[in-house]
Amino acid sequence: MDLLAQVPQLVVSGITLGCIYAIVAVGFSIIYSSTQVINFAQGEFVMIGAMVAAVLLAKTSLLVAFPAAVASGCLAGALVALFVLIPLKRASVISLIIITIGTSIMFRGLAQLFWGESAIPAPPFTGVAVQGYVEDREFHLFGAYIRAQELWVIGVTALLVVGMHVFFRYTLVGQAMRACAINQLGARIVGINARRMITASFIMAAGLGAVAGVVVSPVFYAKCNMGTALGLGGFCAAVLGGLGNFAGGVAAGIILGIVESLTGGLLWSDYKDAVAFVILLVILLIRPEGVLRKRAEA
Amino acid sequence: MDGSGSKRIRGGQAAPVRLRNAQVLNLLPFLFFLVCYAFAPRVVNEAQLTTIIYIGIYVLLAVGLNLLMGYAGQISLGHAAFFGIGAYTSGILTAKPIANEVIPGVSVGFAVLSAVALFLLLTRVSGWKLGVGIVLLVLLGWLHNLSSIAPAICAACAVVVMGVFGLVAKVGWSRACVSGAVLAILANVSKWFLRNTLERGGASPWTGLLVGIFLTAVISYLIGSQVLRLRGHYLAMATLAFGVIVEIVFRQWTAVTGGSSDGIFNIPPIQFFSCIPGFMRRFYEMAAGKTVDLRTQYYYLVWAFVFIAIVLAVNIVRSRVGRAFRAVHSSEQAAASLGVDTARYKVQVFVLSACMASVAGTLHAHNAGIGYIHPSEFGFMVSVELVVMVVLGGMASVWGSLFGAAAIQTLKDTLLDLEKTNPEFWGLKLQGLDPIVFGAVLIVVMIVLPQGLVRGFSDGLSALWRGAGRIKKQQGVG
Repeated sequence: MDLLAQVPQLVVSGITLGCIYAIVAVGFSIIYSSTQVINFAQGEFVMIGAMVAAVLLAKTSLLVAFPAAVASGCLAGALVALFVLIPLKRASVISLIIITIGTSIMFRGLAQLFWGESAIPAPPFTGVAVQGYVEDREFHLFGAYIRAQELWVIGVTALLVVGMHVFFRYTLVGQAMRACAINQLGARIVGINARRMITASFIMAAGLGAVAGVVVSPVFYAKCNMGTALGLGGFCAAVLGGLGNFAGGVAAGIILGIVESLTGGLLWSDYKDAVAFVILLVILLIRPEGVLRKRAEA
Repeated sequence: MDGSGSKRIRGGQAAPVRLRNAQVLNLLPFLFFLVCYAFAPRVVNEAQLTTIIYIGIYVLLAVGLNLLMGYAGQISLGHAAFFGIGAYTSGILTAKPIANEVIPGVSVGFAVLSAVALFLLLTRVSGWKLGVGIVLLVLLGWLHNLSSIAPAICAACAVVVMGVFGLVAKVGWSRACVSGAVLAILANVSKWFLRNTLERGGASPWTGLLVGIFLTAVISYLIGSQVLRLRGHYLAMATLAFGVIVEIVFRQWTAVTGGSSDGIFNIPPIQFFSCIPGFMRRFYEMAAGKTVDLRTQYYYLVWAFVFIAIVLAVNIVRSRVGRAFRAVHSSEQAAASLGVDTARYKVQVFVLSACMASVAGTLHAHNAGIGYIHPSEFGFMVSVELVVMVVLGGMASVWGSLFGAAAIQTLKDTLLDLEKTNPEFWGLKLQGLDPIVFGAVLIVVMIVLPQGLVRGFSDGLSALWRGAGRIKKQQGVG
């Protein structure tokens, strides 16, 4: 088969993947700007959302599965916030990293315990039932087949990003969170409860991740070890776009998704899983001074 | 401040006597260790001995990682990669020699890696010069891969091209020349070596050990010299990415590593008794109180390495280098301002700890009676497990690592035994509990005892002691 003919299809799946990276990147940014912590459990929130949704979608409708999945994601976020907040004052960077890693593998272990190691398929949101099996609608565009579910992913991502922007810009809570991110002491002086804002930022990042997990579960199957790769990809996007910069993270996430899909599909199909990691490593190595300068300023 | 200073000076006059006491005290743990080492096979059974061998391998890993994490304060979430590189190098060389058609590619790749590492080490360049240097070395390596050109011409090309590049880029032509020459030499030597190994059907495990250490040193230097410029979260992510990439290579490079379906099996155990003098053999037989079988032999070998590693680590920690590590840990800027070459020390400890991991990997691959390796043994979870061991035993505590590794390995065994009984809890099959338990251990230890169990315990004791002393003093005054 002609390789070039695959490009549109690969771009479409790349954009879908990139949307998830983008949401995870936004999650990293939210938590980083409020606590200067990189939350290694970020990818697990997507996993939790996807797993809960996949399990519930098999039994009930989307109207039940969606809120349940997002709620369990938020709960997980609150748990991480609790573990990080207890020692936040006196802990070193290494211990915070270790705590979030601990939570991350704990979530993965629990998911494996409850739902097993194998991948769980989920029916698409707007599909057509064919002989007891829900098949997704497909559109044909520029030589690529686009599934309705992929449109869902893209649409929800766009909605979330706009929502985030409005929230941080125009609501009181959002402004308070931004104040905390800029100067925690100053925020506390004017009466903002910093701990509550930090907890809120974890819950929000987790909720976002869980939403991403829900919409993506029919596209990639939900699996208990899907979190690491998504988390690293999202981190890569967050660094590329600049930590704390939402728009940059979103753009970088989508670009990263497309690049990963194209290189994996066209060049090294055996090493498809490694592409995101290689890109991450290369970016960290090429621009460490930029990354570090940002840290020094913060 | 003043008082303690003068006390220290006064103490200095009486130093000889005190020092001797201190030395004896410091030697005690080692003596205790040696006695346990020699006589352990008398008291434990076969299954326990197997566990103890595994503990030894993980202690090696944990001690190495502790030097990096606890003393130098640099996190590595990809340490299992070096463990795997050691294991795979030795496993491949001894049990599954590289097939003829892959040999040129592998040896040239190896030569290029080494040459780039040497180039970096000698010239210490960065930015575009480094990029061009790497590209040139890769191209020259590709030249070596073409069988139509005589090796001598390739070698001459490599030296001349690198020399010219060194002149043009002003990075020292002689140093660049050396890296070109090493590229040529290594490419041919490793080709010859791999062919020879294939003909003989496998190398000796000792060769595997040495080659593994060399390869690990090269790779860890390449990675470390670049990655260690990063800090905190970035470093953690970069090492994590590196670890995952290496695991994917183990899984996917089926022509060499056997891939994830097979792994490598029938790896011969290391025959260590045939290499030592007779009196040592008699000593071991006397200590074990029986004829020393393969498994007991292997136990002695692994723990001999552990002993060496601990002595090495304790000595490094107490030396000038160890102080430099700690200075880097507490404040990199302050250390640098006092003239500590922080970058060099960080890379040194990274390479050292990677090499220790590689030795552990070789020992793991040749484990008597098992001799089997699989990519899943070197994945992200293993790296996390190593971090758990270090954290539990206490960062910046060499003996703590021993304790941490032993505790985690025992815990793993207990969990495995528990899972064999197919336990159920509210209708939930309890399987695969390791991640949950390890995650919980990480969180709890980091929150409650960030110094680790050993340090936390001894700190608690000494606080009690001091508290008691203070009370006594107050009573005396009263």
